[in-house]
Amino acid sequence: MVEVKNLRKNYGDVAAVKDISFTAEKGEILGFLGPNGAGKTTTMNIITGYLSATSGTVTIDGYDILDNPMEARARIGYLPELPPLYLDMTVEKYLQFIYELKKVKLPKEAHLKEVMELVKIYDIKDRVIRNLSKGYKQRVGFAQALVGNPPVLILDEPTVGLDPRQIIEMRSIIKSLGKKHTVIFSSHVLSEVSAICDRIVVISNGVITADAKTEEISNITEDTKKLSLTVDGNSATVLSILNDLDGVVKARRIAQESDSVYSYTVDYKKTVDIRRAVFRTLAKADCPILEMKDAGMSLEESFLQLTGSTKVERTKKKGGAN
Amino acid sequence: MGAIFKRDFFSYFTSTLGYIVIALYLLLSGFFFWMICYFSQYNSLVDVINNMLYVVFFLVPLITMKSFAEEKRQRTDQALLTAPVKLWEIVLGKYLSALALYGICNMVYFFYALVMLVTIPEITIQWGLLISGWLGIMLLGAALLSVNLFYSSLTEYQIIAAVIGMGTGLVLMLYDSIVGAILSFINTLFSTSYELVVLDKLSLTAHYMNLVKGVINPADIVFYLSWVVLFMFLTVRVLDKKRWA
Repeated sequence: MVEVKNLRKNYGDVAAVKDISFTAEKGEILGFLGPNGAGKTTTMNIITGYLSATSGTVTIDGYDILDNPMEARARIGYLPELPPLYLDMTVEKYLQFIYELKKVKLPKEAHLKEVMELVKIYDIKDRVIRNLSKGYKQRVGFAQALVGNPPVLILDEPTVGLDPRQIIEMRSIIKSLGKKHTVIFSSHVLSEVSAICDRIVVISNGVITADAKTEEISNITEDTKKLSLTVDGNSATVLSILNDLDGVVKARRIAQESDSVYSYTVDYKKTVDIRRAVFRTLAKADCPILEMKDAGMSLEESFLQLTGSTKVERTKKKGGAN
Repeated sequence: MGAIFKRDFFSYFTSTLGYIVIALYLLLSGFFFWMICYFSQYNSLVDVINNMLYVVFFLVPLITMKSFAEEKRQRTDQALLTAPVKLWEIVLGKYLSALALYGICNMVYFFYALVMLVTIPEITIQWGLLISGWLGIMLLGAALLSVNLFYSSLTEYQIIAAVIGMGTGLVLMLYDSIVGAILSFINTLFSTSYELVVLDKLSLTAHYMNLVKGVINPADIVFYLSWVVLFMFLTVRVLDKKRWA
């Protein structure tokens, strides 16, 4: 449905997007994940034809965005980072304008009503956009992208600036749209992308660092797995036992819980399952295991690893806030 | 194109801009009409148009200043440029909406003619002269609108577009004097006696003068339309180039 090949965009000497290729199929919600400044917005602007790429191609449903711009653009609904709203118009007048601008053929009244009801702005249709709250403005922007029922929806950070309830509503709308449309949706919030998307494309510094199904994304990055343990016994003994086990990369003491109880994490190669060996050896040494948990790498950690350590602080804060 | 024309035209009246432009035009033309025609019962409305000519140079930048500048500032250009619409449709839609507002202003002369017919007994209106004068100010305005629309596409700030437009208006208004002064300077400096051959043909006001005299010459009309086409083309190029920046 959407095919992006070897996209590159230079701003003067700076390459904002270096080499990006991916495809999104019909009925797929593709999450476009990356820290701020990674090139998400530039890529989306190129896909929608707002900017032209320095090199590379974008095809929408078989139509090249440069060779057949009219056919390609007619198939895209775009919600830019800042919704393109005419503040002096009422919601309904604005959507009527968009309807005419996009040369939509669907029955006007019914179609616009359907769109407005979907994003829940029908009851404010006569209000002037200038006076709407940020959340409503965002929804009107979203409605604008939906006018004409385009098979491809490109949404650039659609939930930024919304309150938690609106975010949840927005997510559920996107999720329901994903059944019929191809949705490409960008965000720097991990929990959001993993909650909505079927597939995640991680972009960092203008290149794709991962492209995988949501549930697989954490597997790509790790070659080691983590085990967290709480053991009763002398910590030096326990550590030496753990470090001597086959397949263990490194065992560390994390915290002391009570007199002789400590918690540890053990990094081990993902090819071997060390849990049974851990149980047996520690039992033999008379160090009872109070708790043992497989601590697979979280999506968050994968994200940080994929987008490079320089952005760790910043993204960590953002991830935490959500 | 129709959608853009409609939106832009109505936006003149949802903001105060359209009213301000029309009010200014009515106020000044009404003043000239009162002083020149109505008070002295003198039937030459073309003289009112002649005086309004100087107003037009400064009023037109107000009409087009926000056409593209405001779109860029509010990022609404993203909706236009990603819609299945060709660039020339966008430019033409905006141009025609500006021209329509300007056209509304210029309807006032026919209203003045009616006022004179109704209130002053036994007056005759020179309709032919009025129509060719009206055509003159419409064409001159059409050319200026295209220049100012082009300026609006160059910047994000309406005020900059307006100021540059008014500066250009001043130069174009004084074009004949400026070119004449340069020529006489060169002639004195080198003791030559050159005469204007091509440069005076480019004057916006000179072509207007023909029309005001009641002479409708296709060459004058083509001259103004060439300005319009040239600057519309340049505006399209500017929008296209943004994409590649």
